[in-house]
Amino acid sequence: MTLFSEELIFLDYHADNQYDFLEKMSNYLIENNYVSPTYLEAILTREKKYPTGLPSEPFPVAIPHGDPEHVIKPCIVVTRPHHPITFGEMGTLDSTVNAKYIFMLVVKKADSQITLLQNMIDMFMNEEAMKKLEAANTSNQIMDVLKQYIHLEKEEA
Amino acid sequence: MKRVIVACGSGVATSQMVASKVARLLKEKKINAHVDAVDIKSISTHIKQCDAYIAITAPKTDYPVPVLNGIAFLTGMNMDKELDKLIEILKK
Repeated sequence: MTLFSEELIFLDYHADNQYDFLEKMSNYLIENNYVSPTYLEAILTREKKYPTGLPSEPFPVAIPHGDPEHVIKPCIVVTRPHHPITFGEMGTLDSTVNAKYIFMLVVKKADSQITLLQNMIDMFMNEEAMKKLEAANTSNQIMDVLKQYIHLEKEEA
Repeated sequence: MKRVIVACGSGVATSQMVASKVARLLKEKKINAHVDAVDIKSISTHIKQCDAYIAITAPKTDYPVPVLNGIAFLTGMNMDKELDKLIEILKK
């Protein structure tokens, strides 16, 4: 089992803003037993204090994540929102980025997934990879791009 | 041995990623140092036992050791500059 799955890839996702997005997504994860009911508050608090928007090129991406104690089943939720969603910029308290993709990291200890997470960040900076992601129209196609750039098979739990 | 600490909000994803990357980069440059991801909540203890602090969050206070930009290591943007700075510190 890898952290990515087709069921957890959402395209053209409608959310009014960051709060709306995190609320909807957290509730989905809570309902499906990926996280405990405390997750929503945890991720909101964390995002406020330590924003997760990356000012990456070719375009910004956000990697929201809550504290590990709320995670039941680790996973990474990939969302391409209908409109970019504004997130605070990581490492700042006043800048923002308009995230075109949101990779929600629902992980426990990162030790075992370091390569995967690092590959993922490298992919965000890879113009060719992001072009392919943009060209993908289905969850299945997105998954193919992820498989190509992120070495999923090494990260099996 | 010199010690470098990396901290993010939860001490899980981002700080671990940056710590492993920095450890690899230093190894490539044959610089001997420990690189540890720590929880931001315990930063005041760790800061006393390190030679440099790579911050992923906006640093709020002045620290007794040099503070480097963790986002540069995470994204690779301006990374070489930060790496040179870090090496300079560790060579002292």
